[in-house]
Amino acid sequence: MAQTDKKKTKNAARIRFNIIDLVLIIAVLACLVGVYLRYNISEQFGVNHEMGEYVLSFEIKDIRYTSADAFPEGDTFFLNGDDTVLGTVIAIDSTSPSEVIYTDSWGDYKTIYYPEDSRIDLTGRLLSAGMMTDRGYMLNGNTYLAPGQTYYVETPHINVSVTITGIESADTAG
Amino acid sequence: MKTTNEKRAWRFTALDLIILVVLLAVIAAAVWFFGPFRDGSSGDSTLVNIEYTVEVKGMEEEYLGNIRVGDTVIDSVTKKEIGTITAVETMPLVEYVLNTEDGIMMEKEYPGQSTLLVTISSPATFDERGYSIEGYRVAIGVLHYMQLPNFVGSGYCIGIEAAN
Repeated sequence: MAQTDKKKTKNAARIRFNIIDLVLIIAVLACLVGVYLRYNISEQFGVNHEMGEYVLSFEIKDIRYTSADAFPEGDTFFLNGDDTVLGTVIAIDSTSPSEVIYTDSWGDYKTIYYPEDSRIDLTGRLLSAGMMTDRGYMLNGNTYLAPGQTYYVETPHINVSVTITGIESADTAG
Repeated sequence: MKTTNEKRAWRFTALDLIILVVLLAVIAAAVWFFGPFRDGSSGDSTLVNIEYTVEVKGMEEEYLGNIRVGDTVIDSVTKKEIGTITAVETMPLVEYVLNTEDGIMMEKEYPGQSTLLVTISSPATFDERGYSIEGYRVAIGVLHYMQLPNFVGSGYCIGIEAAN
């Protein structure tokens, strides 16, 4: 009787492994695997490369002519409405009447421009922090960015869509 | 013989500790990502009085008198007060239309419709992200959904000035 009681006590004290424990262990393992993969992906994109300063050329199309003054030097472009910094304004290089491309009755493409003091296109340059890797430019070391991409940005003065047209090292840029 | 209560006595084990830690981490992450710490403000802000202009297009003539100087403007979405109207400028609604036959941009005036430039004044804060009225962002290009005592409509902000 005493031995049966001892066995029962021993069995009761054992940890019983059930489905919830299995789920927890799988979740912890998944986290560890995720961290490992993330580190490996970062290596592939060259996170271990050195950060540097780069000049991003951009263009903004079809904005009101009065908005030309909304890009003072030093203003920060925040990407997609969050805290990711695309860069700070170095200069606005040009403003010109917005161009419109249309097809005439012969099917030929023609270019026409808005009148003065109506809609404009604008080009400029930003100073950005990032790194150039084998796979391209990594903004802040973690966001792939390349010419041709268009981003919605917020600056202290304006919300606008910006297209990146060029990326070069600040050391070699003019 | 053990009683039922003794058999069901709860003991705090290592697995319970893991669950607790994971739960706390999830709550902390949720508060960090969705809470007040992510408003993007660096904390360095200045108080200013701003005047910003909203362009309301396509106003029918019969409603032109519904937007008045002195009206309080409420944002229809957040229900926040976003200023007081200090000026209203009315002009004909003109749009640029492409004449593909002649290859020119033509100004076309819409009969019976107007464009209103509504100037709104409000105290605001200015920081590295720009102007905001108690968290409500004011910037050129922002679409404002306005609720006035006698008008509901929307328009894009086309200009901001800070008054000294």
